[in-house]
Amino acid sequence: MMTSKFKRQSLLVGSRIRSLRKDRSLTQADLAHRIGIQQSDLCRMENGEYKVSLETLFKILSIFEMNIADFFNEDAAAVSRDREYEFLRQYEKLSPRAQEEVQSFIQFKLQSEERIREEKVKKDN
Amino acid sequence: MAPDLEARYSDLTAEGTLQVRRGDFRQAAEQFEAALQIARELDNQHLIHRATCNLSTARLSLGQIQEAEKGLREILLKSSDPDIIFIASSNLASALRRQGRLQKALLYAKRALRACETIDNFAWKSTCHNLIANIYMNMSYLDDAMAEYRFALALSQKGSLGTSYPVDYIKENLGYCSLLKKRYRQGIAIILEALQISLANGNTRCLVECYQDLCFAYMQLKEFKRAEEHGEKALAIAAEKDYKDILKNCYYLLGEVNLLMGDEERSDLYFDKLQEFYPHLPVLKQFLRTFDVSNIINLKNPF
Repeated sequence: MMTSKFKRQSLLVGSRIRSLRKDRSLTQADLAHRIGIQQSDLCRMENGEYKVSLETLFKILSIFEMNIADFFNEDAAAVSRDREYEFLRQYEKLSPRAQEEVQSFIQFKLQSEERIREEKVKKDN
Repeated sequence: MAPDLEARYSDLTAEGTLQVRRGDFRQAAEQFEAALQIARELDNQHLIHRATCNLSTARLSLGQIQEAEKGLREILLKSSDPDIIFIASSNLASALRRQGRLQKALLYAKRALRACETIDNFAWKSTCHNLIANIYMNMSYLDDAMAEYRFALALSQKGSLGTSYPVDYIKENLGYCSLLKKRYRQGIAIILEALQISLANGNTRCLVECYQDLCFAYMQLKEFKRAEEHGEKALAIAAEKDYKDILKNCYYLLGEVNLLMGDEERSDLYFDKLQEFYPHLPVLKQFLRTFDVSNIINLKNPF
């Protein structure tokens, strides 16, 4: 799966918290109060200078519950973009002959997955 | 009757103190509670204050923060005994630290430090500097924290404390602080010293923290098998002793280590266990599978 085969994204939690907080029109004081930390610490957290406990990290996720999908998807999309970029970078390093082989392999995989899908549909019917 | 009760009070207090040092906090709390009862029967204000402070120490270690805070401010207003003021201030500082109220915690820790200036007790002085260092570490002021830990160690050497309490905790904390500064090999060496001392002292709480932190260190060094080995040891002790904070950290660490080793099934098992603590957060597992949060986490932040 993605997590073990590709480099995982190191979460830039601070900047993400800042943008989520601003999206929800929360002041640093409001959010700090809800997390249960000092405003000055939240400020340092947003600047990446402050390490949090798992408890606090999960509390932050809970507070942004309505936007958790945003929190998740935006960074997951970045991971996905990184994967695609890495794939293209490696592909471009290959010789033209090797690139043709990769293309053939992708065609082969696409066709075999299509076949599997068709067989499954037949079986279900 | 009164001398018998006073002797019983002293026995219970001594037994409770030993249990705290062994990491058996539930039993210690029972002993101190019984001692408090006796102090009330004796109507001895000094003994009541002392027993309340001791009970607070045990409750803090059990994670019963609100209960641990009870009566400490009142004691600080009423008592003029430096010993009592020291324990009440430092326990209040610890309780506030656990709640993330770090500035106030620092204030009380410094009050405790002032109180113990007049007391000839190097263990207490070291403990106090260790507490101040812990607060700095929670604030992520790592250089200040390391300076305080080193000063605490110097004091314990000056007081010829050898390897007795609180040297094990101070070394463990100093080692972890080094890990946060990414000095992994240096941190491991210090934690291994703390581990040997904890084993010799029978200090289970410190021991479990050593195993947990070694798991983290080896994970950061990508020595995953070693990391897993230490994480599993920490997990076994945490489950047996019901150290919930360590339990959660271990589920996270072992989930992460197994994920990094490519064993997603086993990783899921641990993340699922962690998820059970947070049923309101269904995305937790997926979040941890997707993001590497190891560099933004402080395993010793209690809030």
